[in-house]
Amino acid sequence: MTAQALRGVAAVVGVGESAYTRGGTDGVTDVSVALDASTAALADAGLTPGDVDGLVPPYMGATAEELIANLGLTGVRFCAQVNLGGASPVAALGYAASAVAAGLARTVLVPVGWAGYSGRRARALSAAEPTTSYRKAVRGLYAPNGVHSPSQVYAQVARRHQHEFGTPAEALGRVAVNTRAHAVATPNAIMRKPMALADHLASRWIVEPYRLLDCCMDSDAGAAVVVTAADDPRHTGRARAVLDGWADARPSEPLDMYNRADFFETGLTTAAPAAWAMAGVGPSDMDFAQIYDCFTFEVLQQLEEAGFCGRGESGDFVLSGHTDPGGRLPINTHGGLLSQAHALGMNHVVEAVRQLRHEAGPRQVDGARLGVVTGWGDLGDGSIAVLRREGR
Amino acid sequence: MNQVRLQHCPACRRWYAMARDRCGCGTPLVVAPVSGRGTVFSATVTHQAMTEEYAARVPYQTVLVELAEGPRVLALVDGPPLPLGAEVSVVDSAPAGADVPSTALLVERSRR
Ligand SMILES: [Zn+2]
Repeated sequence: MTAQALRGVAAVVGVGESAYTRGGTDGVTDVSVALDASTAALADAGLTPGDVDGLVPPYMGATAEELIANLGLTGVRFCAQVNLGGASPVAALGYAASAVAAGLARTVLVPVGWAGYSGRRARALSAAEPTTSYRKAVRGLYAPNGVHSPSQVYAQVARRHQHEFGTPAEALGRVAVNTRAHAVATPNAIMRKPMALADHLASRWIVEPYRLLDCCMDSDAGAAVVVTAADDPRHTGRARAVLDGWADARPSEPLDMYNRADFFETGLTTAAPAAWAMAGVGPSDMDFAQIYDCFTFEVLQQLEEAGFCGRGESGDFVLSGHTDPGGRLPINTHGGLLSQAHALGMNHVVEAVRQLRHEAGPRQVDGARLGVVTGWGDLGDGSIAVLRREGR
Repeated sequence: MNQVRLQHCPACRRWYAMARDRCGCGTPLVVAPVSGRGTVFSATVTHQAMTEEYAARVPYQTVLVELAEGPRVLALVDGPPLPLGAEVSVVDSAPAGADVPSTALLVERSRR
């Protein structure tokens, strides 16, 4: 069987989110936000916990056992975890779809939850047990040279890109400004104060070339989706988001961000062509893109590696207006990790599904029929899923 | 201060900055000194310290140095920031004579 044979076999039929907050609520944990999102996603799908027979638990936070116990999932027979850092949620869609296609499960719940504001923050994670290659690299190789957080690790790549290709600060700023404009139109986004380019350029340095407004936020957020067969007879007749192509990959030197033969290679460099081939469509067919936006430059880098533009061309691509609200490729129409919340990128999947159902209200991309979601994790792991609207 | 020491594959002659169990070609690795000479491939300046240890140090520059032998290593810069492309020499900041190489590297300012 080829990957193409799996095109269109599965669909996202339910999406859910926890409240997106930054403090002010007691008892918010990684587990609680994952549970809230799961319950919402099952309700959205018109299904119950008893229907769930497949589970892809998140790579950090709630365990499979906690999800099973707290949600009352009595029938789980397929359960597999994906460990690609922030690229895990989008990759998990493909694993869920594969399980459905193989007949290993009929209803797969894919939740994430991170109390990244009230609980452990991103900059503290590299000091946690070095259980991942990212943490091992930071602890063993980068931290002794003053590089502790993702912002510091990735800033070296951003700076080199600026040096080689002349990518201006205004291009990074344009990503931040566009994303905020979308957040203003998204009721559950945390950051909804309008932002101008001047605000971005005046925000304080975190680690050059990243300013405060180049960085995603610490938040408490959970998001979840439900995957079934695309032709599952339980569907209510509502439009759904069919998975036409997906792939995930690690870069060719997976242990160290800085020693790849091609310095800008990421997992997406190989995953994206595979996903496009599987889906039978390409970047120019997309009505929108939800791109993992841990920092503004990573959006530019992924636009290049996913094939929306050539290597080194992403600055011109966004400055030309293509990715502005209402442009030919709106990006992160919900406000992303930069301005909506840091639900580990599963909020990007939720938004893609809402766009394809035409339920996105004032930020709806007119007639959206095809969209893409990417994930970015750890030392540049990549994932991508191409989704298509099906149904009335 | 010591010479920088890195893992090296005697078979395919690759150098590795990030420690691993064996070379991708299957050969056990040895640890050997490198020249320490290289050029600044990329650089960042941290303004917000991410740990308490670095709070008194901000702003500080961390450079990514491409060594003459090939691998790229991070190194801290004491003093004014260096431009990309600058020729530098890096040393292991562990005390002289330390048995085990450290990964805490410093740019030597005197030998430009
Ligand atoms: Zn070798």
